[in-house]
Amino acid sequence: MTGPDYQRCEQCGTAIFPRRVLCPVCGERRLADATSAGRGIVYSTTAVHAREGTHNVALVDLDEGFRMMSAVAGLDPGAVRIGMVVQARADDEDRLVFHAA
Amino acid sequence: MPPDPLRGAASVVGVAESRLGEVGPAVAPLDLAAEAAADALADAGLRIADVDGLFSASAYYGMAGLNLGEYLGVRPQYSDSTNMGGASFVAHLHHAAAAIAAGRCEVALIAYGSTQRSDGGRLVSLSSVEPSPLEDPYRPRYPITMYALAAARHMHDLGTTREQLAEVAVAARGWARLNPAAFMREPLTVEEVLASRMISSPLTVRDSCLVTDGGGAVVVTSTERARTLRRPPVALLGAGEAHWHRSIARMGDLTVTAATESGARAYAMAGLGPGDVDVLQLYDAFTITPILFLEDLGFCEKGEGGAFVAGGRIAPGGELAVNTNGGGLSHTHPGMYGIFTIIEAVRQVRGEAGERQQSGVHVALAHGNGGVLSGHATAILGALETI
Repeated sequence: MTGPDYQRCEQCGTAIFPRRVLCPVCGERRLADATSAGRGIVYSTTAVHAREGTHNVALVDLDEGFRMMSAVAGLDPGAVRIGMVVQARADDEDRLVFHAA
Repeated sequence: MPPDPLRGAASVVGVAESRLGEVGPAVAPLDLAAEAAADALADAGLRIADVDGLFSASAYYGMAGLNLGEYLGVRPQYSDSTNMGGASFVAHLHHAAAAIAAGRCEVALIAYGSTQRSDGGRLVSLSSVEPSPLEDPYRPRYPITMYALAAARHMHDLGTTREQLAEVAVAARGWARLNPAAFMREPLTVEEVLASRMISSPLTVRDSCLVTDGGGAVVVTSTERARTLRRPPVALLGAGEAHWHRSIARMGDLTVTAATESGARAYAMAGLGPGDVDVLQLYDAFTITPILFLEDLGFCEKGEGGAFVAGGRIAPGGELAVNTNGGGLSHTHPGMYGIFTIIEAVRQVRGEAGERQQSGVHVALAHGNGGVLSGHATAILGALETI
């Protein structure tokens, strides 16, 4: 089980997402490619009420130190909680979503 | 520290709103910007031919100043189409003052127009031409989902409640009921906000700004020249800008905005603090935003914003007059609302706001917000005697 690709600054160690050519903290151009293990914590969450139904949108803080927008699946969209530990998994649309760990 | 040389150097001498609400399919966004521009220049006793500095931003026109200049027949010697979303126009006011003080132009026109309601009622935003491969697969509803994420985190960390959010909408409606130009003027209660249609939790349709047509314009010149014109000048005492992110995932702490910095810069330039401000116009895209800005601009501590707005404290008759025109929630919200914060601040300082006029307004604060809590610009405006 793997999470999203990211970069690690070789100068200051900052985890960088999405992909860039330089570090937004120190300006360093030497960035190492890395892949997250996909484990994270829900930073914030909302249930989006659309015509076709309600779906979750969440911000997830990956353990490696960066944040991404995603969704928490396998739960009622409104039952997702801030602070919940989650694990990344590809869904049938080939999106990276998260499930309660 | 010596006083900032830009403090009081430029003044607003004309303001106007165009037709608002729903203008129909025959009217273009530029028509409304031009209508407001002509009325703001007439308010100042100036003509289009006097304009030599042009400032505009738009979600329709990528080169907004070029479109507006062509339409009006203005051939500016100073042109600025800086786009910080809804914060653009407060930033333009700052830029215009700096350009005037530097002698790069003498009469600056800031103008905006949008027909997003007549265009089908969906927010026309740059996001429609700026796809986000990192966000689009998750189908956030732009921009409300991003503000909902901030509201959810504010509630989690600081104990803010949905009732407190609803109080912001109810206060705005209270002010709109005193503004004959406001789009929604029927009474509104906290219970009605809570029971209204959920769009992106915790935000309902009544926690959200309106979708209207409309335009606005502001004319700025040197305070020296302003003293010779027909209306009481309203001086720019302080201005500041800040932005830290574009997409919500890059914001960091969703409970603290860059208004902390734009506000601090504006206060430092003005030599004033929150306690000197008589009336506030805060961009209320969603009910969470005035709560964040009251905190970040120093009117209460971080985390006290929810309690601060409760019990009608920012409504008519409350302790602090916030969004006296009814705001983006109840007065008008044609895509980018920022210019209306300046217009209402100027009207309150001039003492011409009719039934909603506050007594003894010497200093007003206007705060623009753009993108997803991304772009911030703060202006502090005052009557001549405050210089």
